[in-house]
Amino acid sequence: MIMLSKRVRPYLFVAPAFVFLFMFTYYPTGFAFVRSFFHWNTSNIQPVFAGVHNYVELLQSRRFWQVVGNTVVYAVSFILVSTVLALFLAVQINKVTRGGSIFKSVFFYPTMIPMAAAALIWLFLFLPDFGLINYYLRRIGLPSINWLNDSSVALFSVTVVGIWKYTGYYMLLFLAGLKNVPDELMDAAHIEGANGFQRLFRISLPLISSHIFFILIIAIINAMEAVDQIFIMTQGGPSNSTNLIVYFIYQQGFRFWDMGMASALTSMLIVALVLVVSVLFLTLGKKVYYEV
Amino acid sequence: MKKRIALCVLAVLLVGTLAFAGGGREQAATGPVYLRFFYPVGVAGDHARIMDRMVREFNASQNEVVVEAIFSGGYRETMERAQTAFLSGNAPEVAVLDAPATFDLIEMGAILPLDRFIEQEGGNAFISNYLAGFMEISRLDGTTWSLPFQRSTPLFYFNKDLFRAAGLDPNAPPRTWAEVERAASVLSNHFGGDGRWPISIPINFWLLKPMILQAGGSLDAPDGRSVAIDTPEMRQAFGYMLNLVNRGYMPAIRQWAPSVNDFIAGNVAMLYNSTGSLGHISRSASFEVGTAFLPTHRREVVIEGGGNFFIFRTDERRQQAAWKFITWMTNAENAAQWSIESGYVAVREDSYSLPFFQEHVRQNPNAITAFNQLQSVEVERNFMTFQQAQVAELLNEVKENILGGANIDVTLREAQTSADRILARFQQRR
Repeated sequence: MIMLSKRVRPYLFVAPAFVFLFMFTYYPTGFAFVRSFFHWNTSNIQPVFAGVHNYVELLQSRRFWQVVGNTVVYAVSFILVSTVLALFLAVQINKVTRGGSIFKSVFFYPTMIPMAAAALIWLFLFLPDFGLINYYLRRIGLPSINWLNDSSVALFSVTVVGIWKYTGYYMLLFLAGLKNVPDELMDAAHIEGANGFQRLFRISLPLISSHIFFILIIAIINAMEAVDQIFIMTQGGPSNSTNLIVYFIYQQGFRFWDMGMASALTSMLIVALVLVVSVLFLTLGKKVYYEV
Repeated sequence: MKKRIALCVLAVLLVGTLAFAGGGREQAATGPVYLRFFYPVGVAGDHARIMDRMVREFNASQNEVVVEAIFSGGYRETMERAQTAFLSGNAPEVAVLDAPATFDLIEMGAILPLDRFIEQEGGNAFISNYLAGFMEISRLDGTTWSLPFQRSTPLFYFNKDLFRAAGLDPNAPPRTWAEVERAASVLSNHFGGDGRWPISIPINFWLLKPMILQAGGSLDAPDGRSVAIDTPEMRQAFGYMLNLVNRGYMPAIRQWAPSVNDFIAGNVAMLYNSTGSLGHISRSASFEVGTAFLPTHRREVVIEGGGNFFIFRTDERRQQAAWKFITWMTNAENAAQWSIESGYVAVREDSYSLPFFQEHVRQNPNAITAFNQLQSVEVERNFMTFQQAQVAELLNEVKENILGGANIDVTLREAQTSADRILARFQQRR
């Protein structure tokens, strides 16, 4: 048996993971970036150099900007609502003295369902005539809403599904943080006369800022990668109103078989994500409190 | 030491590469030929079960070819799957695809012209067995690229019980756009509101083209390199539909499959849909189903639609085997059998003289409506362009926009610009 020095061994252990990550993540990413400068479609099975043509074409297309708009609206509303709601639920459950685990299970359960299955469930809930949601609306005397086939509400509907799916997960992460806030600090603050809001905003939140930062990053990623519910529930419609960036990439690449265009979109998405996350790390990341 | 690390990394890479390189299936030179067959189910119903049984029968009928039937979703998904497989060097040997995919399949160099095989079978004597109306889309500039299989026309379905209840003659369905509006108006007095509608025309470009033709216009150019969206006839087609929506007779936006379920549930009295839904509707509806020709306007015309058999470019042995399979699937008996069970139009003239098919038609008069429609009104080619999926998606979006209340002039102008951009690279080669 070959003895390896202690200095070498760690490299060897990370090598398999690194190799796979390289083969399936970094290499394809680089490949997509290179191919974004090529015509690569049904007419050019062998890629032909195209310069920045794909980028220019995209930036000039109305559809692209509509998709960017949809994605921004989806991401902002998803991130805001799901994280704030998750924090609210976590704070409340943290105060619950009995039955806390029941609430945790109930709120966490959507996380365990695959998104594709969840989307199918919601497809039925959103049915215009037989769906449960419109049934309740009619029961309380409100008009039915065509949740998925009306371009003014469809994006809202798919956002609801995203929020429903992820809030429980974020809640659990917040809860894990809140459990670590020392009781002595809380008791001390209480005795000093700090009210509930002050204790939350001055003590709990600063102490769990590392959790908040982590959840924010995860939420951004979850928002940008949303595609399953789009594929199953709306296929980007009606009137392109629920077409989000990842679904748009799929459409360009596999439905319209324009891989050059899909590569250009992928590259833009990666650059945008890296920018957003870097800015967050350089600003908020510096203010995060890490327990040592 | 560094060398050793490099060696280890290299070894891991090598094992990984080998594991992935082993994916391609090698065909043995002797023994039965193995064919992968991708097929879609394009309408509501249990067509996958019927298809599985037919393929099993084919496999049992001989010992030279073994076909594996691979259900691949709807038309769109099956095309995505087939073209991705082809472009990654792993194409299926044979597939049923939406016939309008032909331009794109030729453009990619994916499919094989069938003329050589047709000569082998007896040339015109063989191919003239297939209904002429269905062969037009297969033949481009004298080359035959596919054989018709699950073929259809748009059909007008109506609920005879609801017609009777509203005092309409169940044996005299509306024949023109104006009569549809009148029937809808009568029906709406007895029926409507609460998720119930006199009529439904689902969002689908396939139902849009016949209306444009009926108004006297045209949509896609014969060479598939341009499409006319911003036209007066397009406005007339939308005028017809918008009027129905604005009067509350029709839901503005309904997707394809749900519209069939609405009809079966008795929530829609009149429905535009495919012949391919006939089997499912007849079996599932608890009321008397009526079928009729698509209501016309200025011109009596309809389009054909549905899926054809395509043979992918592989090697001679597999191509011959694929040909054997598709001619078996579309022989007179099987075309008749497939039609009876699915509701699609039998694609062979000689199917119609088979005793069991005649008996079926006698018992189910609806089964012959689509065939009669093909015989008695003009038939034009299905909507077909290059970048078919992209242009079709654009047309669906136009329909959703306009019926959803967008400005028709702006929508059509912008859609025309988008279509011209999509097709620009093909127009340059005209």
